Amino acid sequence: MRNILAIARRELSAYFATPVGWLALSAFLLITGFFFAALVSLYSMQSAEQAFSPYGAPDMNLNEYLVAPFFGNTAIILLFIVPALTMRLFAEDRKTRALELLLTSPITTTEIVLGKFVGAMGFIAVMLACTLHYVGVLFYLGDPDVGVVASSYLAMFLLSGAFVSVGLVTSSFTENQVVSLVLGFGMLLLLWVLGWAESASTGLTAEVLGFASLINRMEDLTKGLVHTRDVAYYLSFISFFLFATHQRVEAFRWS
Amino acid sequence: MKTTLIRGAGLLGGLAVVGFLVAYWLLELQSPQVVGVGVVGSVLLVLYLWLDREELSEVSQSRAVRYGTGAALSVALAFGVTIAANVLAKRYDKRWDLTSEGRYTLSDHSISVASGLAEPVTVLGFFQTGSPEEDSFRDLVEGYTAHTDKLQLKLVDPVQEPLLAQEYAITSSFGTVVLVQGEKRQRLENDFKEEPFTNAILRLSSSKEHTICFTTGHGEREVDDDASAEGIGGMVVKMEGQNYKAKPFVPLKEGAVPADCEVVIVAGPQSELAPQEREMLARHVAEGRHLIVLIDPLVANETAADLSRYGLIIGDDLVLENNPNYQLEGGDPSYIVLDRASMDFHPIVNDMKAIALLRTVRSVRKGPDVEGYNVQELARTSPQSWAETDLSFVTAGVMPSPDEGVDLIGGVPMMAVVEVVDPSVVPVGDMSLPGGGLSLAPAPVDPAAPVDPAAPVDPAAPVDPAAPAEPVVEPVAEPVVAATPARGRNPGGRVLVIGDSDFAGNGLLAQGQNQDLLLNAVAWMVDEEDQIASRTSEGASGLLTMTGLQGIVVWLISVLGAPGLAVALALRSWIKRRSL
Repeated sequence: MRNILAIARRELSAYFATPVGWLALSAFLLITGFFFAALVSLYSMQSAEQAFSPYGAPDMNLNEYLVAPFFGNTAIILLFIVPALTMRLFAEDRKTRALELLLTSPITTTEIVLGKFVGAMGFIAVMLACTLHYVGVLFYLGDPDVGVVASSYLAMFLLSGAFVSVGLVTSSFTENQVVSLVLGFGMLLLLWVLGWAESASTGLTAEVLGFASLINRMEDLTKGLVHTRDVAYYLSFISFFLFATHQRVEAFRWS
Repeated sequence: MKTTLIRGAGLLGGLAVVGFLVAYWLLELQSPQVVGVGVVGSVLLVLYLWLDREELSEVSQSRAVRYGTGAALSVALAFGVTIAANVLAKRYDKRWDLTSEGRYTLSDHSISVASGLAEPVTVLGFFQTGSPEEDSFRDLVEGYTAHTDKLQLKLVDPVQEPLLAQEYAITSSFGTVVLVQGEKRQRLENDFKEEPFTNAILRLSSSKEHTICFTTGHGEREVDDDASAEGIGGMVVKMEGQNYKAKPFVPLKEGAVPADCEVVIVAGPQSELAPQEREMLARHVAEGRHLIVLIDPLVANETAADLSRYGLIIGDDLVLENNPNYQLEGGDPSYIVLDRASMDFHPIVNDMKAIALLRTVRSVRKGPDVEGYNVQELARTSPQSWAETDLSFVTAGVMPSPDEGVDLIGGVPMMAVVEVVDPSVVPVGDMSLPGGGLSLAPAPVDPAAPVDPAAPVDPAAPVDPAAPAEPVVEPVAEPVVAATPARGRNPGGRVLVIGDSDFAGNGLLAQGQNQDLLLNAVAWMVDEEDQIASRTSEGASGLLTMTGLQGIVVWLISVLGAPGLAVALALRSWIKRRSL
């Protein structure tokens, strides 16, 4: 555990030691901030129209029309940003031969993989924590549902975990960070749009594609509905890709 | 050359097999040609493996291949475990609704309806695949299937399955839901929320349609009016949704309560019911059927006083609430808020979890004990309320104070229910119309009628002295048969009197659990106690309005504030690195 935390600390500090991490954070906050402000303005205008409507405002729901779309947009931004954060995790170590040092040190492959995963997740946790002020604004202006907000953050965290695990495995296959980025982004995009193929299929195929889609599994979570099947999906997804990364890194020992 | 050909065949075979799997399974192109490609590909692959076996065997001896194969197999195994874990997780899925208003949690009523399903119901949801309506409906049905295995959902895209859509005459592009149970069908168009869906299941599974009759001709609330605040059409729509058939009738015109009326509702008469009409209602009750009277203060006092024949005393008063916890904001004391603490224990009100809101209410209390009746007061106001008998204050506009010894002070009952244990004690008088136009024969007697032998019979049932002198009370000589025999209960009818009708009107129907009060009462009367529950809450609305300045601040904080801070830290980090 100590080794895992040591590696995680090293990875986390690497993000903040260079402007790249800070710039990634600024880009993330700028885009999420734009979406947030735009959604709040739009919802406010709709609320004003509904409040003065003689027919009342029966269907206005802050959680459904503002909170869920905001986190939906945040997920898309993460899809672009996370591969950029994970591309260097193994690729850089391979290029600089630091991986050989790691592999020859008394640290197990599992500790290396988990350490890098925890480090990347730590940075993403910081990114997500920086969006909490949006929630504060929402609570100041309206009455969002704490449960919906909490389950939405759970969704973002699980989704980010899935993204990082895929980024780890693609980073372990190449020394070139750009190739790692393209591979990681391509894989995530494919898993993301599986849900779209669902509508073009029927029966078991549609069911499997719909279930395997990364985006479909987070929809209920952003509505405040926590399914064990969704949480299990993300956890098993993360576990599988971490295992695949482990196998790949282990191969360096005997290759 | 030979080796190249063999490896080329192997590659071709492998590609053909992969192509076959994609076409057959993913694209569902299950034609003989596709199968042919699969067979040829498999043959080529097997040929390659056989002909190149020596080379393959040599390669497989290398360390890289051995370790690589082991790793690949481990990953494949992990993939299998992942799939198995997800299949199990999907099968044994549990869900938690974290929304504060339980937006995705079914009401007790819907759960009761779902768990009470005896026969399988197939739910055909005709939606465009991937549409928001389809998603919402799937979520909704999942809530029901968590409580029953009798409900099966099949989502159908009318474009992809036009024949099925045609069979069910699907024309709406916004979705249609058809519930099928054997030969019976129920259809939902446009509104796929919990309440209509539950009602559709009810209509499908209920073997009997109950008829609820509304008296008219005395200024009662209009059954057909579901738009104005005064009408009772909104409640009627709710009743029809629960598989009840609503029917207005004029007692004097009919000459008697129609035989198919299981429950008669007198909803806020503004003028008196004729004495003959009151006798018709009494006979209706004596025959084992049921009566609900919603009677407002200041009007129809004679009709109100006549309810003493059922062992009730209806006050000529107005209940005023002085407890701020039970008043509406603004403090109008004539609005009466009832909560769980206000209610007694009775099937009609046991499941009331939220408030009920009544407006201008008169007291309804239990009279002197009458053998043959079970009378129970259902709800009382707070100890700070009273029933004001000096109603001159209404026109004077001065807030009165309770008069000790005159007014009923503290815990004023305003609704009561009567179960007739012995129908013979219900006083039924002459129903002939003035001038001898109509004389009704007594109801036929069924010798096999279930009469409670243990029930004491008191033909000379005492009548409240405050009751009007007319009509002359003539107890029914023999117990009559309930028109709709109940399941092992008293042969007499049931009577509910509420000292207000506003709560059931369109104006207040949506408040708290007002609708449940009457729907539960009807369900209890027609022996559908499994339908008594707290009904759907469709979720709260949430407006968010900003001033212009607030809007600017939100934009500044979101787009400039936090990202700007991160850019500043990036610059600091860059400068720090340069200075090293």
